[in-house]
Order: sequence, then C-alpha cells, then structure tokens
Amino acid sequence: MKDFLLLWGIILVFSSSGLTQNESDVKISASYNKVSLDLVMLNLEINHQLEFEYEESDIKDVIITASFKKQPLPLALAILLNGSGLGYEIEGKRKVTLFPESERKPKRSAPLTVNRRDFGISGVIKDGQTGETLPFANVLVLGTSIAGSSNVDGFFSLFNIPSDTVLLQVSYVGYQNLIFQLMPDMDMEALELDMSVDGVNLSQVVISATKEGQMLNASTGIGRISISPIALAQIPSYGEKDVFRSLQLLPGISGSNESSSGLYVRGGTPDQNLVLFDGFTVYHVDHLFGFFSAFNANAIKDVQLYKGGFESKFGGRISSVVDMTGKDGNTEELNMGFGISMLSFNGFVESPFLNGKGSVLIAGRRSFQSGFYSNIFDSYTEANETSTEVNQNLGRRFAQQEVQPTTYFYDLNAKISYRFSDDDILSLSFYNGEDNLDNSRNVDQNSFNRFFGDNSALTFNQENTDLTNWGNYGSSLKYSHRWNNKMYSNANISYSNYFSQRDQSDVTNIVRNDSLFANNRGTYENNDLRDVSFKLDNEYKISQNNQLDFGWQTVYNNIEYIFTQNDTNTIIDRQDKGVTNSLYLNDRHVFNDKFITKAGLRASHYSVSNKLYIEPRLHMTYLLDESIKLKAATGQYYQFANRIIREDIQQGSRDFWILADDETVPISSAWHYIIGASYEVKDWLFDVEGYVKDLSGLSEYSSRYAFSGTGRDRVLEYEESFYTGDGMVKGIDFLIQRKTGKLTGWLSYTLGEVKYDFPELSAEPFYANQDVRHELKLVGSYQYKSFDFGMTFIYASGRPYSAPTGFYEIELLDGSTSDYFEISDKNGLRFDPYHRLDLSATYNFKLGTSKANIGLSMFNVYNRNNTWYNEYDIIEGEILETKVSLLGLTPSLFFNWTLR
Amino acid sequence: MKSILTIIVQPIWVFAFLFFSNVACEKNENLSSSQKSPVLAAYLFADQGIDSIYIGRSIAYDDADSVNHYLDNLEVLLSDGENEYQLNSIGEGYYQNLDLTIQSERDYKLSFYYNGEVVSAETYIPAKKEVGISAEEIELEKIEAGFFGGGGPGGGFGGGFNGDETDPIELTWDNSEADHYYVVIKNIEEEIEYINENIALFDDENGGRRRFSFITEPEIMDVYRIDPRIELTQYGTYEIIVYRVNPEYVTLYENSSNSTLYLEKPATNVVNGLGILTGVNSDTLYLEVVEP
Repeated sequence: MKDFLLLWGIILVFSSSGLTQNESDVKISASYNKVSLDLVMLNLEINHQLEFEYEESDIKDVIITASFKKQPLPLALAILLNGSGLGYEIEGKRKVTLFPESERKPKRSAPLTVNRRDFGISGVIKDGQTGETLPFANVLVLGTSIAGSSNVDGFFSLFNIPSDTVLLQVSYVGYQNLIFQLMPDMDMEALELDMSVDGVNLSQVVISATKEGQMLNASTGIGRISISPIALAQIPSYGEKDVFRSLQLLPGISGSNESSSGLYVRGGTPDQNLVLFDGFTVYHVDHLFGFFSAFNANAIKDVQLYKGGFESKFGGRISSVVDMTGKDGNTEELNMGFGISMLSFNGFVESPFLNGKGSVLIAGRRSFQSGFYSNIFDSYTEANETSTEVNQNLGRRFAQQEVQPTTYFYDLNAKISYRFSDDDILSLSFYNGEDNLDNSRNVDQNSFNRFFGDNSALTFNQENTDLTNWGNYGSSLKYSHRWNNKMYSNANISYSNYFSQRDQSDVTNIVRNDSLFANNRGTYENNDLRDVSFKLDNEYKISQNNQLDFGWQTVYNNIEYIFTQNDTNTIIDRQDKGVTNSLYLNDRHVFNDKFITKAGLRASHYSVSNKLYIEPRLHMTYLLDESIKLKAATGQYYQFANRIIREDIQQGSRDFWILADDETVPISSAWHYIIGASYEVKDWLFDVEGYVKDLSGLSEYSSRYAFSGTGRDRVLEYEESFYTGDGMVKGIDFLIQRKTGKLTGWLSYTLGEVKYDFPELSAEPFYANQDVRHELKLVGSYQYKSFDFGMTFIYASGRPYSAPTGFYEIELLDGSTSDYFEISDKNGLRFDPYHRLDLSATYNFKLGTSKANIGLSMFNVYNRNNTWYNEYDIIEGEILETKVSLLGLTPSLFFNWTLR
Repeated sequence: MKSILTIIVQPIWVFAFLFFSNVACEKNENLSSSQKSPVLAAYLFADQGIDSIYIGRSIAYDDADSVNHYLDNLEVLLSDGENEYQLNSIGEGYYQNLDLTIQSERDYKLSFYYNGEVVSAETYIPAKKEVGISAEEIELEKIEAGFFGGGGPGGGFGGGFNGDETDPIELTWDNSEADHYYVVIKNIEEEIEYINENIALFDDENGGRRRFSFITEPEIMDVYRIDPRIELTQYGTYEIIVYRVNPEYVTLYENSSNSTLYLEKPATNVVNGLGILTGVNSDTLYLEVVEP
C-alpha cells in the first residue's frame, strides 16, 4: 500500500507539472546510484543543456537513485524527484524550477487527460538489451488487483484496465522491477515492456530499489519457484553456473546428493521429475557422474520449478516438473561470449537477422582433462579401479598396465526463432549432450616380450574394451500464434533421444604362424530411448478473472534395452513401445480479487495397459491482505515410464528406462496434498508449505541369476525382478528470503520423511534411500563495488543404508572359501550427517565496451569428509568397513567474457 | 503484525508437532546384532558317500568369538524321500556318513534343529553326463631355459608355445538342458616336470614350483577346449573332471557385492538358515602329456 501511494505520488507530481509538446521534445537518458541531487542537476545541465533554478536549502541531502532511457523531461523529473518532497515546474523547453511540494505552485498546464476507460491491453515483455522475450513475468496494474503473467513467449494480456494512464508494474526474477506508464497515444494491443537486469539502458521507466534482481522467486504459486539463470553466477559453483545444482539449494530439494544432478524433490526420485527443455522431455540430466548437469546455463532463459501439486498441463511424472525455456538469441545486435573454468570451456554466439524478426543462438561446452577434472573423475572411479584382467595362468607374468582413461563431455544448444508477425513465432530448438569414457587398454606382444624376449613367430594381442557413453539428443519445433488478445496457441513437435552404452569386453588373439586362437569375453549394454511428442497448448482468457488452459499431448515412447554377455549370450532384451494420449483442461478463476482457484483435469490413455487415467488437480490461493497469502493444492499424478538403476551404478551411467506394463511393472501414481502460507514484504519473503505425498505402484528392480522350479525342473535364469510397493512422503519446507539490498539470499529448512512399504523387500516399512530428516540450507550473495561474493552452506541429516550385521564363510566346490554377509534390516542404519560450505568471489570488470568477470570458487571449504557409501571386507574374521567419501576441498578458477 | 504471524505460525507448529511426534517413534537399529544364523555348506556328490558337510553359524559384527563358530553334535538327517540317514558329527562342524551312496537324479532333503527351529534344505542330484575327449595323449616339445625360439622349433611362450602347431584338446558333452558346468584340470604326477624351463625358473623365484591346476567358472557350455599352449605346462598325467552343478550353486558363486550401494542378501536355499545344499555330478577323464 505504501508503495502504491508513492507511485501515485509520482503520477500526481507528473500530472501537476503538466506536459506540453515542447517539453516532451526533450528526452532524457540517465542512470544514478545514490548520487546527490546537486550532482544530478549538474550532470543534466551538461548532458542535456537544462537550466535549473532552486534554493540550496531545498535540495540539501537529497540523494537520487534512478535509471531511465529516452524519457520525456517531465517523466524523467517525476522519477528523479520521487520521494524527495520536491516538485518542479518547466518553463520553455529546458528551464526547470525546483521547489518544496508544500509550496506547490498553481498548475500551469492541463493534467494528463484520460481518454479511455475499462479496456484491454496486451503486449510482450522483453529484455530491453537483448530483445529476449521474458516468459512467466508478472504484470500488475498498480493500485488495483488486476494482474497477470506473460506466457512462454512473453505475451501478456490484461482486461478491465481502469484508464489509459495507469502504471503497470512488471516483475521478473533476476531483473529490476519495471514501472511502465501507459500513455493515451500508445497502441494498447502491442505494448512492449522492456526490462533490465541492472536497471540501465531502458527505454522505459524503472523505479530503482523497489526490488533488486534476485535469484529466485518463490511466491508465484503453490510449490512453484522461478529461477534466474542470470543471477546464478552469484552462487558458488564448481566452476560453472549450473541450473540443476542451484535448484538443489532450494527448500524441499535434496542438496546432499553430490553424485547426481538429478533432483530429489520432496522425497521423490530424479526419474519422477519431468524435465522439459523448450518443450521436449529430457530423460537424463547428468554430466560427469552427475557432478554437473547436462544444461548450459548460457543457453537457458527461464527455469520454472514445480515442487508438487502442479497443474494439469503437465503429466507423466509423479513428483515434480522443471520447465526450462531456452534463449531465443539476441534480436537487437550481435553478441558473443566465452568462458573457461578448470573443467571446461564454453562459448556462445547470438545474432538477429532480417531486422530483428529472427534470431539465432548457438552455445556449446566441452570439458578438457585438467587436474580439477581428474580430481572429480578419480573420486568417482577410484573405488572401481580394475587391473588388467588376464588369464589366471599367465596373469602373474604380465606387467600390469596403468592406463589413464580418456574421458570428456560436451553439450551443444542451438535455437533459431522467427517472428512472422507480432502474432506468429516459429522456433526450432536443438540440444545434444554426451559423456564419453574410454578406459580401454591393450596388452600386446611387447608386454610379454619384455619377459620372454622377442618371438616373431608369435603374435599376441589382448584388447580390453571399456567404453561408456551416454547422452541426449533433443529437438523441438514450436509454432505460436496469438489469435487475439484472448486466445493464444502453441503447437510443439518434439523428439528426444537418450542413449547409454557400455561395452566392457576382452578380446584375446593369439596368432602363431597362421593359426588364430581368439577368445571374446565381456558384457555389452545398450539403452536407447526415443520420445516423439506432439503438444498443443491453448490459453483462452474468458475475462480478467477467468482463464482457461486446454490442450492435447501425444507421446510415443520406444525404448530398447539390450544386455549381452560374451558376444552371443543375450541376457536381457527389452523392447518397450507405448503411446500416451492426454487431454487437459485447467480453469483459473479469481473470486472477489482475493480467492484464486485453479481447477483442472487431465485424462490420459496409455496404450500398453489400454486404460484411461483421470487426474484431477486443484489449487487454491487466498489473499488475506497484500502481503499474506494462504495456499493449498491437491492432485493426482500418474507415471508410465520409469528409470531403473542397475546395481553397479558407480561405473558411470548404469541406469536404463523402461515402460510400465501394468503387470510386472506397475504404473506409478501419487496423490499430493499441500497447504502453506506466505508473508511477503518489500525486502523479505517468509514461506512455509507442508506436504504429504501418497505414492503407490512404485517398483524396485533387481536382476541376478536366480533359479526357479524345484527338483529336476529347476532352471537358472537371469531374472529381472520388480518388487512392487507403496510409499508415503511427509514434510514441511520453510523459506526465509531476503530479496533486496546488497546482501540477498535465503535460509531454508526442510523437515521430511520418506517411507516405503515393499513387502517382498522388508516385512516392515522402511526409510527410502533418499529419506533425509532435516535439511538446512543457507545461500547468500553480497555485492561490494565490482565484487560479488557468494556463499552456500548445507546441512543434511544422514541418509539410510543397509549394512552387514555379520558374515559367514562357505567352502566352494573349487576348494576356495568365500565370505558372505548377513544384512541388516533394509535401510536400518544412517550415515553421518552431510554438511559443507562453499564460497566464491567474482570480480566484474570492463574490457573496453565488453564485460568480463574472473573468479574463484571454493567447494567444501572446510574439507568435510562426507560419506558417499560404505564398502565392507571380511579380513581375518573381522568385518572391515571402508567409507567412500565425496569430494573434499576443491578450488576452481573461472573467467567469462561477453561482447555486450 | 503479531496477529498475522500468529495466523501463519500456529498451523505450522501444529503440523510440526504432529510430524515430530510421528518421526520420534523411529526405530534405530544398532549395527551390532546378537543374531547368529545357522550356516550350511553341503555338497552331495553323486555315487559317493557323505565325506564332510559343514554346519556352523554366522559371525555377528561385534562377535568376540571369531574362531569357534561351528555347530557340533546336532541331529542332522538326510532323506531321499524313502530312506532317512543320520549324519554323524565328527568335530569342528563337520558331519559324515560314508555308508550311504548319493544317487543321481534323486531329490534329497537335509534337516536339523537349531534354536528351536527346523533348518532344512532340498536339492536334486543331476544326472551324469558322459564327456568325450578328442585325444588322450599329446606330445609337447621341451623348451630349455634361456631359449625363446625366435622362429625356430621349440621357441615360444608357456608350456604350449612350441614350435609346432598344436590343436586344442576338446572336451564335449551334451548340454541340451542348458545347465551349468565347470572344468577342473590338474596334473596328478608326484614329480613336477616343466615343459618350459623358463617358467620353472620363474616359479622358483616366485613362490616355488607347483603342480599345475586349473579351474573354470561355472558356465552354460557343452564344449571346453584345452589350449595346450596355455593350459598344459607340465608333463605327465592330467586328471580332468567336468562337474555338472545346480542353479543354487551358481547363484551363490555369482554373489559378491560388498558396498552399501547395492548390498543384497546372499542367495541361499536353506530355510531358516544360510548357505547351501546342492547336488553335483561329474565325469572324470585323463590326459597324458609326453615329450616326443
């Protein structure tokens, strides 16, 4: 309310000063940050040839913080003097008299005249510098409850606007708030609202310091958080801005899973999280054993995270949604940049074409072998060091070969967009990312010639192949059309491919004269997932208080998984195909400006089970007053594709996707129940949400040699078992966020519990692997002159695990003795708590007209020894426990440069 | 302001209280365990008596007594469905009955009482498969110390890398049932005579000379090729035994993981206990390796 009065004050000042043709000829561009008014006037006198008249005593101690570009003089003055207690009068073109408002002089000209009342407006919200449209930005007509948000293409429309001179407030995470003055002569159907990260170079008015650019906005909806990829640089990273790693710092998302970029949202697993990039589904988000996520922050414009209770527009997952929108590319001018860290280098180029109607962006990253890279790589692989596997009889005679594995990852984003008209946009987005790990080695003649001397009649060669590669291809073609300011449609055809291959084999060739003895042993795995989807999303604004979203989605999945042994023996050969057709409807209704409901329904037909699945969804928000919001949501969710984690996961990507068949693999489902409240004031946000998730049809996978039948009918098979169970998740997320000022950040705390009930695995319900009781996260960012300092601290109570309670020995048929463990109750024990502190410092500077920054990031500053997992050995009648730790103190340097 | 905060905070505390009161009931299992399960290791060889089967108990994580973990003087019964035989405790957990003969293609059940529970296991004795061998004698030339061939006769690597080409010795049998087999090849001479003196010298320096013995892993196979150049390193008589094993043995053999990422209960076919009872059948052949 206070803000509104202030802004209304601006209007009054603005109106009282009058506006004549002559006055509006002078356009002012300026940016001041805590500059005294006398200096501001001096600056304006020099740059704009203005002449000021005032009493020294009136302007004493008046400090100005404001920024604008090409604004008419009266408006510029209104902004400058906002809150100063000063009024102004303009004489002629350039003479300005300042006086205390208490001594207001009679109006010399007519106030701004209102021509229209109760009409609709629509337009697009953009980044004023790059021309990128900004999706999901909030627009509010100040002094009213009329509000809305932009859609995925940055379009917005509002109805029942009281007059054509109102002020619009636009907010978007990571950007300065924008106050936009409607003018009677504007085209109300084609408004262009330009926002800015730092508040400068804008073509519209910015009231500075109403809100600083913040990293996240947690107050947009229930369980929903918007993230600013731009502001992520302020958070300590492992040398690279990483969207998924940053998401792990939010309340309700586990921050203690260093070995996975995937999101454990409110007790869910990463495969229960729908990851969308420009509309296509991404099935695997890990680079380098999960230490980095597969997405280049330079190519991402917007990230929306739905932690639960998400709307009927999204389906196919039972936990959460990450909806990412890629950058379209700069529509104003050519821009480029590059960055280098101790792990990878990255670069991007973006450019407009056809006078800004089209734009193109290409961004890429590739890792290189460095000490930093090796440090991470080794910590993830040292538990699996293998020696050259050779014939039992010959092995002791070979020198063991030390092989440095070659490994790298890369990703590439490209997007081209074209605006046929103000109402039609076509864009093509492409993504490819891949990890390669080659641990192969050759043992050749030279190895044993060292011992036995030269023997040219004999050729010996043993090739050990150990190749792992995984990655994604994704592409989408999107056509958006605005029918009118009420109806907007979006058609999207997409293709997504996740592949994961592992070839681990030994080929031994011994050639003596012309005789060849060859032996091939090993395993080969290949998982190839293809997803072809079509989506049609529509928004129809029935009125300012009622919006209907409806659409249709078809997803075709084709998943292959092959696991062969010794060249010929196929152990698993799965071919899953399925089509899911879904229709959804969602109605957003505002009652009495205070009570907002979103009621939705999603109906899906899944071809494999040939059944119809109905998912009702409901959101309710009640605005107690301007700062207090009460909220609740519920909904049902189904999931048809599951990711299976195979046992030896630490050797890279050991997982694969399958489709549920409703027989051996059930279709997972969940009910979400969320209640919460938030209290938001200018500088602070307090938010709390309690949640319960009732899960059913969960599966755990086990594959091993097992026998079936009895007596002479016993058969040994490589058996895939799916254990089926249910789960219950309960928790509360607390968030306290400081949104403005030099020091921003948040403190979050989650109290949670995840219990699974799998009768075949345990007689009693047990805590799921991802169950973490307490998780506390502190994220801070501090700006000092050209420096940004960042800090994150995470504390999480230990995860549960199963351990041996004892062991026993059995003599095998070959005379050797083998040790076996007796195992505790499923997940009956807990690791020590996880905690770590990360710090970073970035220095921002200019290189000519271009921008650059250089920085240092320190991961795990106090070198906490966090347990990843335990290994057990039985040595001389005792169980020895070895803790395998996660990364210790890891410093990293980085440098980034952008042309603009 | 106060009332606003009360509105927000009060339900949270109620929720938190309910949550905590639930969470506080958590069971916290201790790593130590007094549980000591009986462990059985019993292989029933076709056409043989029971020489020694082992019964012990598992050793708890915090078990002070890490040596004395066998179970003697139990009443152990073996039944083939018609007859019941008692196995005699011979000390240190071993039980014996040499009076009975295990019959092929029969089911057997072993049982005993421990801690008031019946511990039992069942198995089936697979049928014997006749194994054919492609040659019963093979000539391999001796390689003197310090002589590596260099293209001439007798050069090469290992016992078998002689100058002449040597075909592998092939063992074949019918495995239309796709069962698992493993092969044991061992030199049974009392005096060890190396084919390649270089290897003899190497063994002298590395732990001494040993009689050659080679065991394969259980696999589904119907042929095994002995490569003379690799697997026959000494002269004399070799005993070759091809064992046919049951699935329960293979599952036990395959079990080896030891990290908390994938710790699973080991396979067992013992009810109320751990370990294995399994039937084994075999065929034995002999091969002579001589100097030309």
